Amino acid sequence: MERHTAPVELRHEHFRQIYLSERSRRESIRSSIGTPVAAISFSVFALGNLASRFDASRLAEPTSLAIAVAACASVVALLGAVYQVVMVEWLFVHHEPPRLASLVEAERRMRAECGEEGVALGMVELMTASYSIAFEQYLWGNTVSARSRTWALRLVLLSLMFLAFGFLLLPFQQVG
Amino acid sequence: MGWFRRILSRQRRSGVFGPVPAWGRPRLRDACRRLSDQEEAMRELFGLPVAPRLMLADEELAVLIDAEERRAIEGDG
Repeated sequence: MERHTAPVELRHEHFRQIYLSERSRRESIRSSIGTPVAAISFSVFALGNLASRFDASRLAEPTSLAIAVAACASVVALLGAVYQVVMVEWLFVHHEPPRLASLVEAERRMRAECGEEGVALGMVELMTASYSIAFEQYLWGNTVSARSRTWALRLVLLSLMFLAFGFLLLPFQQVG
Repeated sequence: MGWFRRILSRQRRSGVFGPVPAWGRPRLRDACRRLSDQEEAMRELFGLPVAPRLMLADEELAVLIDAEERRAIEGDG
């Protein structure tokens, strides 16, 4: 015999699943910050290397000036990347389903208002509503965090490009 | 000081759904139209009385776009 899932069960299972997957996505976003952080560390090291080879006494020369500008732009992009990495986890609020005590209290009130036959349906819908709210909040929070993570990566790449440009010009300063 | 308060609370001025700012709408228009076409194709395929109404999460703007907002974006152009 074919079994049809009741719409109320379908809604409940749907929102439970997408809530759980969005919650685990939170952890993947958190763990993926490691990539931009490692790139920031490398950029800082590379900036130090560039600075130690740079001859500041020749700043009036166009090549030296271009290296200095590239290094400054790299630092600015790097600071932007650091800001975005901080914002990934900035004030993130987790949204979780109700506590057991709240559910028991809700069950008691439903029993009083709707009778015994309405309790099961009411409780399923209450949980569905909780999962739905938590899912939307998680989805939005994760979207904000993912945006910051993406921008952190973009800014680190920009910083590395400026650094590469600086290193490219460095031999011309040393030869000149 | 609204921007400062939003940084301290990590909340948008208008809640988690829309509105999409005017400068971000042209970029999303094609995506919204393609999604509507796909929804309509699925409705016909399964003979559904209503089409699926998907939600978009735009990562560039950090905004969630519901089906009504999508229709509004489609109608802009």
